[in-house]
This record gives sequence, C-alpha cells and structure tokens, in this order.
Amino acid sequence: MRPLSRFALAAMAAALTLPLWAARPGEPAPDFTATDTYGRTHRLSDYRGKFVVLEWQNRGCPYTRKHYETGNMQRLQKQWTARGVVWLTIISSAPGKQGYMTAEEANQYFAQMGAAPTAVLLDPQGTVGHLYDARTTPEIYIIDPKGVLIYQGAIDDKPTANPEDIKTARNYVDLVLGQAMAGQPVTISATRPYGCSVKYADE
Amino acid sequence: MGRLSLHRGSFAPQSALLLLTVFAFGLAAHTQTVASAAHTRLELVSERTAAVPGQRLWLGLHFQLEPGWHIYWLNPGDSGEPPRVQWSLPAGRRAGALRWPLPERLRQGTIVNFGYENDVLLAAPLDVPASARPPAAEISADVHWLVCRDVCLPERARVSLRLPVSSRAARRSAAAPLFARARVRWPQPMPAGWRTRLIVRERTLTLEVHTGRPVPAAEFFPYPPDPLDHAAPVQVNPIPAGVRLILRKSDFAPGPVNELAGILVLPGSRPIEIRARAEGTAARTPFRQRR
Repeated sequence: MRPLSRFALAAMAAALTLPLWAARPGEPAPDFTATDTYGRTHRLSDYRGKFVVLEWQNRGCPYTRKHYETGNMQRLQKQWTARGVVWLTIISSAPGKQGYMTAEEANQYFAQMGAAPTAVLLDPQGTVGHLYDARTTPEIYIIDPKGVLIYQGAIDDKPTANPEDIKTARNYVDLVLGQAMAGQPVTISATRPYGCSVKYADE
Repeated sequence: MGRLSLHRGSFAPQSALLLLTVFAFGLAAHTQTVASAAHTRLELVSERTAAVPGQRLWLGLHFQLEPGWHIYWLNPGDSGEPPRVQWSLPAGRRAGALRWPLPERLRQGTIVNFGYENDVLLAAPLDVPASARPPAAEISADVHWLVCRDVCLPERARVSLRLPVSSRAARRSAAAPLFARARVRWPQPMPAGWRTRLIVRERTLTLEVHTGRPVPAAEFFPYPPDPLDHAAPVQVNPIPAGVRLILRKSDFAPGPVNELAGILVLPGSRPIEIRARAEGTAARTPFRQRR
C-alpha cells in the first residue's frame, strides 16, 4: 500500500471518531438550536447582527470554579452583555456526570453565583458541544455579527486552577471583544483551551 | 460536591477535599514527611542516606495515586496542569530542574492527556556545596498538583526531609529503587550520529529521525509550546535510514512552527529527546530520502 492511501484510510478512520466540521476561526459558526433553563429555544442564527459568546461550563470543574468563585466570569458576563453581546453559557455534562444540572438546579446555582449570561443552554446529549468540538471547561467561542467564528479557545493565558492567577492573566474575551467591537482586527483568533474535559455522555 | 458560594481568591469551599493529613515520623538516619491528600500520597525522598558536601544529591517527590486517578506530565495535553514545586533549601542552594519520566498517553473521548497513573517519582538534583556543615540539611517542598479521574481536584502539600550532612560517603537509601525505576524512563540526549528533519505544511508536521536503519514504530510526546493535535492519528513509516512521523498540526498552534521538541520512543530503546528545526516550507519539492 502506498503511504498516501494508507494516510487516506487513517483519515477516514479518524473521521468516524472526530467531528467532521468542527468550527474554525474565520469560518461560519455552525448553527444550532438549544433549550435554555426556562424552556425557551435559542437558535444561534437568530442572533445575527450581534456578537455572541459561547461559554462551556461545569460547576464542579476547578478551572470553572476559579472563574466563578472569584467573580471573574460574572464580571465578563455583565460587562459584555451590557454592551449588547449575547452570552450563552452551555452545559454539556451528561446526566450523572460532573456539572450536570436540571433546569431548576441551574437556575438556583446561577442566581446564587450572581451570574449574568443572556441564557444558560442545557446540552445533556452533548449535541452543541460535539458540533463545536468543545473539549474543556471553561472554553470560549466568540462569533461576530455576521455569524463568523472569530475566536476559539482558552478564557485567558494562565492555564491553571489557581484563582490568584486571574489578576495577572490576559483575558481573551476582553481582548477579542474589545478589538472586534472597536472595529479593529482581532489579533488572537485561536488558543489551546485549558481546564477540565467536557463531561460528555460515554460513547 | 457541596454548595458553592462566592469566595474571592480561594478554594475555601473545597477545603474539606484539600485537607491534608500530615504524618511525620522520625527515622534513625533521617526524618521524612508523608502527606496524604484526598487521592494522592506524596513523599519527599532522597536517593542517599546523607548529603555529602561537594556531591550531587538526588531528591524525589514520590506521588502515589489512588487507582483510576492520574496527574500530569510537563505538557498535560488537552486539559489538566503539571505539578508545581517550590523548594525550601538551606541558604544559597537551589535544586535543579525536575526530571519528568516518560508519561503515558491517556485518552478520554476526544481529549488526549499526557500523565501518570499509579505512581511516579519526579526527581531533582541538588548540588551540595563543599561548605555544607553537619549536622543536617532541612529540605522541604511546597507542591501543588491537579489530580484527575473523570473529575479533577487541585491538591497541595508541604513535605520535608531532614538529611544528615556527612563527609563520609552516603549509602543508598530505602527509596533508591524508585530513582532507578524512574531513570530508565528519563529521556536521553539524542545519539551523536542521529539527525532530524522537520517539514512544516499547512496541516501537518513531518518529522524524520535518521538513526541509520529502518525503524518500524515510533511514538512522540511533544514538549511545550506544543503545536500538535493529539487526538488525530499519527502516520508512522519506516524509511531506509530511520523513521518518518506525519503529525497533525493543532488548530491552536501558536504562530508559525519553527521547531518541534519532545520525546521520541522507539521499540526497545530508552526515550530520546528530539529537537528538530523546521526546513523552509518545502511543500512543493518532492521529498527524497537521504542516507
């Protein structure tokens, strides 16, 4: 067998296990429909004309906790939704896995945390998570008003669970939204996400 | 997990899990401290029974993990974080860099991590100055690490060791076999006759290692900054003079890839440290094997 055909076979084998069209910065963000904790349906394409942030969340993950227990995530949510950004917090933990919450539990938790996303989307089947190939919590995707993915990756440049690091971290949500909303080119469009693995249902 | 509340700058709600039980027990030759965190037992050990002035002493952090749990290599892969160590040593002394044994590849869905299960010894050299004086050297380490199974927990401990300072040659300690076991998994420098090539294309990195004879299999563990997609399959082919690996570039590769560094594992050989500089974007030139 020639190396090329062997590679093609390997690529086909990979296609069976990896998402075929994982989103990439510069390309249209895949559209999806999901239900929030109040039973309302959200379709990504309904938010054309606005910037959208997708935040993958797991309340038990030490990296997510680092950003919620210091108030950093809430600060980002408040600051950017006040400027018209749509912030969708997505929970892709499967039932029985860390971070899974019923709608009622989620509403109680996010109220208690003083969180301020536009909506919390429940994705227990991992449909939206797999569509975006979201791998960690917290992982961030930012979509521009034309529906193009402009950022994918880590929330900041300090890949640790230590809350002390937030003070000195460079926050990529602030950086990307700051640049994009000022009409400037976005200087960082992809970083390696850090944190806990997303607790999807077992395959 | 209990209720969560807002705590600025602390992991206070998790303190129950972080709670460390520290046992200290005296030994005839030296004193050791073992710390037990929720899923890890950590011990500071020395390869020899005493610190000899003017000689190198190997210290080690021995992590023993609960079955099913793991900690991370210096490059954790797609999630996680490597252990961090802060040494407290007698004035004027500094420990050398940690020696990380070859990790395992740990897969969880589309996530690939590099880490250790069961137990691992992270060793560091300490050059004992000729001026070191008896009776003893106090050594401690503040260690922070993340331990994961399907879920992750940050743990931390302070472990200490009191070693006699003695000008007579020290004996091998009871922990010496741990060091021997770790050493065979330390990466070795690349043998003098070997050569590397790295060809960077848009989506792939082709790494060739010329060892002088065809090599049927190889595995590569990247050092940071890590430009690889760990979940993608790696194509490994023997070539007349060695082995060729075609590795998938990560979408998150930070900037242009000029170098690839990491550990190469070949059948029947100790792990080898590889550092390959990228050739120009040779995408068009048909590639000919060199001998």
